[in-house]
Amino acid sequence: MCRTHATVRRVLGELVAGGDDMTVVDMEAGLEHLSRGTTRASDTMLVVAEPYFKSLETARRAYELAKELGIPRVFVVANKSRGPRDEEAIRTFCERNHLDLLAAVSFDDTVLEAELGGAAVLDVNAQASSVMQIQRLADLITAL
Amino acid sequence: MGGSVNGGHRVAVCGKGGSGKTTIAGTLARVLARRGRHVVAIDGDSNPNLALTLGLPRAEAQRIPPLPRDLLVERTDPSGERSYVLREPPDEIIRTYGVHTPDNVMLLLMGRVDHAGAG
Repeated sequence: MCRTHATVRRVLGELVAGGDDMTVVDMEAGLEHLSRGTTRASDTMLVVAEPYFKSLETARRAYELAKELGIPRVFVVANKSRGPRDEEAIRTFCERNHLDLLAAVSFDDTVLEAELGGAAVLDVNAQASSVMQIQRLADLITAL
Repeated sequence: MGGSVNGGHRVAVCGKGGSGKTTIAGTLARVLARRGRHVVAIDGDSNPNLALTLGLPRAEAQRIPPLPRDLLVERTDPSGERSYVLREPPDEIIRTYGVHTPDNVMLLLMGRVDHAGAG
C-alpha cells in the first residue's frame, strides 16, 4: 500500500479521538484512493461533479465505490453549473442512477479570478455566488 | 449531528482533477471555522493546493512541509499480519505538524506522492 494513503487513513481514522469538531479532507483526484480504501474512515463523502457526461460518470463510479466501502453518507455536489439546463441535466443523471444530490454550486467567475491571482475565492469576494452556495452546503452538512 | 462516536464529523471531498473539489473543500472548511467550529483540513492530494484556498499566501503555502513518511511504523502482529500504525497520537501530530491558516483552520499536508519506495 502506498504510504501516503495509509497515513491519510490513519490520521483521518483517529482524528476524531483528538476531539476535533470537523475534519475536511481534500482527497486525491480520481478513484484510486477509493479502491485502496483510504476514505473508509470518513463519515460523509462529497463527490464533486461537473455538468458533463464524463464527469458525471466518474462521479457515479466514485459514489458507488464509496457506498460499497460502507461510508455512511455519500452525496453528489454539483459544481460549475451554468444555468437551469445544466442543473436539470445533473438532477436527471442523479435520479436515474439513484445518486443523492445534496447541493449545487454554480459556475462563478470569481473562482477563476481567484485562481489566476493565486488567491482564495473567499478572500477575493466573500459575497461571491459560489461562496454563498458553499455556505448553504455547510448548513446542510452541519444538519446531517 | 450524527456520525462518529464522540461527535466529530469527517467529511471527505473527492472528484476529478479540475472539478473544483479543492475550492469546495477549502471554502467549506473556512465557512465552518468562521461559525466557530474547530476545523482540521487535510490535503490528501498528491498535487496539494488546499493551502491557497484556506487563505495562505502562495510563498507560505509552498513552504509547508508534508507529514514525514516515518510517521507510520510497520507492525507485524503475532499472527504475522502486517499493518501500519501511527508513531504519535493524532492530536500530537496536529500540534506538531498542523499549519495555522487565517480562519483558524488547521491544515495538515499529506504530501506529494513519490512512488519510489512508497510501496
